[in-house]
Amino acid sequence: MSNDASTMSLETPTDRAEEDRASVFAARTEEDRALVLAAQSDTTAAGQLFDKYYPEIFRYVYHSTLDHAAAEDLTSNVFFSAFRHLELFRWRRIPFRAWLYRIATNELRMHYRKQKRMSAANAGPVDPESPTPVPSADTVAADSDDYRLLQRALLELGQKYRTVIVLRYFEGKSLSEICEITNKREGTVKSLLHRALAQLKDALVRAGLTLP
Amino acid sequence: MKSDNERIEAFLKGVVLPECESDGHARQLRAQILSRLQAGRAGRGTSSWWKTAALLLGLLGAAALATETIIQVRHYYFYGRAKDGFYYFSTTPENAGTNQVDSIGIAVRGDLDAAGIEQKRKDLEEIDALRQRNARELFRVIDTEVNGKPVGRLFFYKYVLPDGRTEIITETGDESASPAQMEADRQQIADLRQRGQREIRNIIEVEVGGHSRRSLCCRYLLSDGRGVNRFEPDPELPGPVPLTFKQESELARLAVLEKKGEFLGSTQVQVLGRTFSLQKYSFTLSDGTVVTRSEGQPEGPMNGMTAAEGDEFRQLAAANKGETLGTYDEDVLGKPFKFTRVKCVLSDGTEVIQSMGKPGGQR
Repeated sequence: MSNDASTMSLETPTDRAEEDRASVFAARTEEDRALVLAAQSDTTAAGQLFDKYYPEIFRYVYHSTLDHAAAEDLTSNVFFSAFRHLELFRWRRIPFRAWLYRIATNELRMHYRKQKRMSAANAGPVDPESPTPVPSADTVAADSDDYRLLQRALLELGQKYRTVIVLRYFEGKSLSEICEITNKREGTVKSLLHRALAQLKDALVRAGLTLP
Repeated sequence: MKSDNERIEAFLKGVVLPECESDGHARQLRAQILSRLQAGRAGRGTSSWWKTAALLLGLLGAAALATETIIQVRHYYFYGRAKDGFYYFSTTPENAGTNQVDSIGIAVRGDLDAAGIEQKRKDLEEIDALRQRNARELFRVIDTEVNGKPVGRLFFYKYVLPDGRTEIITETGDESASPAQMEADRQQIADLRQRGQREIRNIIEVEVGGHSRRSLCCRYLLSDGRGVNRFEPDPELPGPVPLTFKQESELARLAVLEKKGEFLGSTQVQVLGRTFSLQKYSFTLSDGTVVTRSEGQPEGPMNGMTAAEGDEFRQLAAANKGETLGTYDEDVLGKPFKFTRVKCVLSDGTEVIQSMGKPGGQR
């Protein structure tokens, strides 16, 4: 029942690291509240808000696509969309950071969907043995073999599984942050993570990786 | 022994993520976003004094009657949000509590939370101070004629707030008249009234405890092209009614912003030879006072465009479907403006001529 053990570890949010992450998250949220309020009417504050979040969102999108050009395009879409609707943003519903990640996740979903359509249109009959869309030529820029292998394996996962893996392990998000970004309950996120890890393991093993 | 998922987690934590930077893109995107934001804010600030000065006088004032607006340093307060989505702000009446009101107001379009409302209120005070000092840029003037009758001039001003933000406000010219100008306007309005040259666009009747008052919203076209609205008492039913300012204010809020009255029916009255159709509502104020309030417009055509005609005209103008009649130069408030006259004929045959003036004409 190895999977059960893993589930247990995911269901222990009281571990110290998770608590620390939660308190840092709360402090950042308060800080953001003031900045966003100012940015809703003040262009200088809007600039500060952009500076604060651009690197984080770009990194998230890049780690999700491993394609520099696509990451720039998608990040542009995220910020144009967010700032166009900045004045409609209501703090009560969701912290600003989570809101940006939500927009980014949505952009990524559309990006993958478009890629899937394009490959279906261009490639003719689908070969079930062939790997799902591979990262673009930019992939060579990645300087980690494990990472490239991981990316290939991640692309075999459904979008919702890929999202929770990237958020949790690449971006270091806490469970509560992932809940806010994905708009799902904690139990659902834990379950998604559990299944995502299991599927990822299978994909990595198929790719020839020997787990530690 | 580690579970599969724990092993995968260990693997994930050990993966070295590739570095990713995009400084050039960040700079470019930042500049694009901020410039769009700035442009959007400048445009969004468009607000309508001409519509709301009249409306708020109507709101607060059915009690205002013949009082004239006095320009002074003013405090603004948030009046409320109407069902049409506009946020209404008004100057604090200096003589609140009496039966006289000096107040102007503004409606702001948008979606504001509490902080946004407070920011807007402060902005309006800044704008008011800038207006008093004439620290603003008049960048457009529009004259409109509907079926050959002028409906009044609109002034488009750009205000730069101390923090650099820009607001664009549409005004009638009534908001910033100097005391001397106001006195001249008052005399001209009295003359026009004497000669019957006013258009009654709206009437409001209030009945409380057997006392009645009828107010007429009159529009006057002044000799310099400005169109101004004034609430005036109907000599046949001048009041007063036993309502305090607080009660008048509550009544206005219930009737105009919240539309929370009990419909009692429609009625017709004759005022100065015209028939007005009134909608009558009953309102119960928070202190239990029951007030009947009727409001209505004259039957038959009114000068100007209806909302639907205004929309149609804007669509035609935006699609360049108007006929350019020519250009002319005219001084506006001491500065040369070049006007272009464009004619549009609406689907119901209404002929609208709009003359848009921009700085740069010849003296």
